[in-house]
Amino acid sequence: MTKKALLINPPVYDTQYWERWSLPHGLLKVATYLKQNGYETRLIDCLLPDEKGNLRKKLREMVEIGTVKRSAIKIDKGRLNGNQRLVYSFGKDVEELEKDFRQGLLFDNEYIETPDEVWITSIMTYWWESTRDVIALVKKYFPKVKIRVGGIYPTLAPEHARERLGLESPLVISGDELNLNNKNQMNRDLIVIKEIPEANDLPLDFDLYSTCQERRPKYTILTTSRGCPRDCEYCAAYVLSGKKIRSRTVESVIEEMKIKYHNYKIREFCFYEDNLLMSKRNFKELLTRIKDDRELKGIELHSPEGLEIRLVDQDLADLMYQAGFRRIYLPLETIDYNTLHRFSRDFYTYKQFEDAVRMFQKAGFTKPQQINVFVLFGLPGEDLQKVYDTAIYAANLTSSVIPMLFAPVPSTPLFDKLLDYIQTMGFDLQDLNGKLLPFLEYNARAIKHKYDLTVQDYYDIEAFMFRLNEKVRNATFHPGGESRVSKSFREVFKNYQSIYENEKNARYDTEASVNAEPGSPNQGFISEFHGSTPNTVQLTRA
Amino acid sequence: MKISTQSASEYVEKNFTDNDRVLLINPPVVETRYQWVKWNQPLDLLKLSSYLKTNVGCEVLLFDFMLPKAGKVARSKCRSDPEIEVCGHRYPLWWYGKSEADFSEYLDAFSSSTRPTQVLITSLTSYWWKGISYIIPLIKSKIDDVPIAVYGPYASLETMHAAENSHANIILTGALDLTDYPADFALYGKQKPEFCALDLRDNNWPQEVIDKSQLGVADFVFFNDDILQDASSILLPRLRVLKERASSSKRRIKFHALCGLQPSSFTEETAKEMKELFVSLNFEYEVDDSKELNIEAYQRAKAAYEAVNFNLDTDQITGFVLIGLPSDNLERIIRHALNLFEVFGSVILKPYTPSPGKEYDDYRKHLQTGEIERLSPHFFPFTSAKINDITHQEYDELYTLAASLNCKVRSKAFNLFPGTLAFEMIKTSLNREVWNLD
Repeated sequence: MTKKALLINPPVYDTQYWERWSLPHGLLKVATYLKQNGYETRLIDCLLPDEKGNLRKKLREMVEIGTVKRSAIKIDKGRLNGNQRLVYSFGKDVEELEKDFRQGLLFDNEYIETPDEVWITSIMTYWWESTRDVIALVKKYFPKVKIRVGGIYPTLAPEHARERLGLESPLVISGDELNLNNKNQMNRDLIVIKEIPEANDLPLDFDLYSTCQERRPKYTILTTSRGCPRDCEYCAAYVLSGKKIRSRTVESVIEEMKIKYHNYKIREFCFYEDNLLMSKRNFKELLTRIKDDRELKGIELHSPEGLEIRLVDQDLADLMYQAGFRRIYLPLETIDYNTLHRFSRDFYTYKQFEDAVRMFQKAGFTKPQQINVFVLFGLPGEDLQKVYDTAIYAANLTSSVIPMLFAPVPSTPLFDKLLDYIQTMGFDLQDLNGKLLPFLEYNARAIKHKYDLTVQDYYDIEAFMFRLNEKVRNATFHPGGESRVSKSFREVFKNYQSIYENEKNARYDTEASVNAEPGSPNQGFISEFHGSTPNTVQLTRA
Repeated sequence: MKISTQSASEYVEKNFTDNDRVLLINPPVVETRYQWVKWNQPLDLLKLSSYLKTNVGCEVLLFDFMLPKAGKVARSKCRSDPEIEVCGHRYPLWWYGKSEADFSEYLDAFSSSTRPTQVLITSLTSYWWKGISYIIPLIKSKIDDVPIAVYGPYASLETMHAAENSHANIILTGALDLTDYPADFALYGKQKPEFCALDLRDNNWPQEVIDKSQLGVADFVFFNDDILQDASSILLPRLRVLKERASSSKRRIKFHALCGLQPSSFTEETAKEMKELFVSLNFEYEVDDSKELNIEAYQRAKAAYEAVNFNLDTDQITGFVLIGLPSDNLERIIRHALNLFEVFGSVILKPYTPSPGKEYDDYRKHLQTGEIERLSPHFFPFTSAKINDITHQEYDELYTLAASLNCKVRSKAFNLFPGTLAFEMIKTSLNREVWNLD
């Protein structure tokens, strides 16, 4: 008998959400896998924009930044103070979903039959609550249905998923253990961790959007390789996909692209990879095939997760431009070598970064916002000065700085090191969303001897980075530039006297070291959470 | 037809009768940038229409190239002159306003019995003369033998240039006395403008505001410089009259102080009277004899603003910094901009060109007055004449710097000033020259 599977991409609970590249590609591959195994499938994509391209947004609660304090929004809410942020439900929220379920509707007034199984994807670990709420809804309206939850969250936090999602004695299995014909598995709720190998290289099932074609994303996600050999302390790529690099054949990727191009009119292809340049030879071959293939004319390629700086060469840069990339993302993170070393990311140098920028510029990426640099902040133990240094350095070279707030990821070495702090603060996964500054307290105490850190200081640096990107007639301002205007700006700013004297006075000991001296109160605080004293490495250029 | 020069009032008196059909034209603007294009309105023509209808009894028509469509004024590349080179710096040129094709279609609709018998074209400035010169030949190709007159500041100030270049038949100098004639919005038919320009010198502008608000117009702008001059006897009493008359109406009335308020004239009394009606304030650039900002005046103005709880959004209160002056200095411009960011949170770099008068005459022999389009403030005429040592490229960069600092994030203005940790850290990064890693 044909089994019916309902696949759900839940809404997102967050302070901000950009739906670009939010296609639930893992779920759509699973859809193809299920169909190949005889399932009838239906999809509810809560993150699909409406006919006007807008994503719904509904206020959920208010959060005190850096704490666990959350409260419902009062109807007569006043202005937020600087330490508060609002959390919204983005996309079709659970209340709207319930209305559909109550009426027996799926999408666009199409009636839903009771499914046998519901497969739910769950991405960011700090978005887990919406998965929980969707599960509760499914259980309410389809009490007999079996639920399968997969994706990044359950893979990185399986115990949390087991205890908190509201599933009935779920079986936690690895994707490679999944057997659709195994009744012992299929008769239970499942938490599927890691990838399902049979589904990995399957195409995304776009036919599931057939009832709302006009709203279907106009792009697709490509995964051409998996695995990353790096040991970056805050990254979970090797936990999710392993260290061994596995690449698809170029032929299979081209075939997938052509099917999407011809059958679904897709012109934008977005690479979602653990480390795209790790199989550089393969990738270059793919780019060469794309640029030479007349059937793929006019496409745009994207890689929003960034490229490993060390692996960029001129040939690659040229090929990327010729094949259809128009934006490059480089994960500089920080110019503070101490920080890079501490998090095992010291495998590239500033020279390599600058060379990579020049290579991409030479290849044709010359307009503002064509080369974008990620600058990481909100890290535990950071010095905000280094973040300003990094932002100005990056903006001077590339005209586009993307501030990235750090969120600790379960199953990573850094998360394990910070577990004491996380538990002491009483944080649950949703509190570890980088936008909520989970390490505000940590950093405020660790850096107290140097300056007083507040929420506003984080807003200021984020705003500073956005302002660096502002362009007029395709040009941004370079505070470190060689022009007379840049030099005049530096001179004026460095010597600037407020016209409102003595009203504010920020304490800032520029000479104090970031790492507290042994024996100081702060040293105890740091070692309490780190387990050891942090390294001290001089800022240096390799 | 021979070109002649006449005084505007004489021309109208002698040549316009109640049998005439007068076509008034607000021409397109050819310019490299026009940030305030939506505030373009031919107030002189609209008042002239009221004057003509009252005193002459003729029929009046209007073609306003600059009337927005769906809230926007069209902009397209200027086909005849797509760019201009000024001292080696290339500026793109844009045609702002309705297209020639739109105008041509309008002219084609006239029959021999409905065609205009007089055409009058205005211009807001002399340096926008090209828009006039492009459309007059089109008129002549469609309507034979109609006298075409150029009116307004261009005709009065650059009479000879207009005679030689505009293709008009008549250049009208001077202006009619249009005091107390309201702007004739009936000329627009159903598609009313989104705002009404006013002349502060008119005694009856409060009533005009009431009348226009009945037509659905909510936004009003004075096209006068320095509306706070003698405010206690001119602006403020009439604002009170307006408030009284408007009190029974539910219609929202919003004024925009577009043309710059003198900070030293912005008192608490002024702020109190303006608060209910003004939704945006731009403060003029006020400097002392040593060319430094009159900081105290700005601080007092801001204090007055705050004392009356005049709570505008951060991008609705700005300070102008004039650039393109003969005595420009880069550091001073940047410092003044930062000062005004501290006061207001938003700054507009306002490019300068000398107004007719002493300064214009003083520098006339240095400025490229043969090509008066180059006197547009956007081409920085004092730079072109090498009177100051800032380049055109550098002014572009100043605009970029201003845009960066003007960027509002979470609705907040740039406020990274001394006293904040951010200021100290940015200063430290700049001191360290972090872009030169070694």
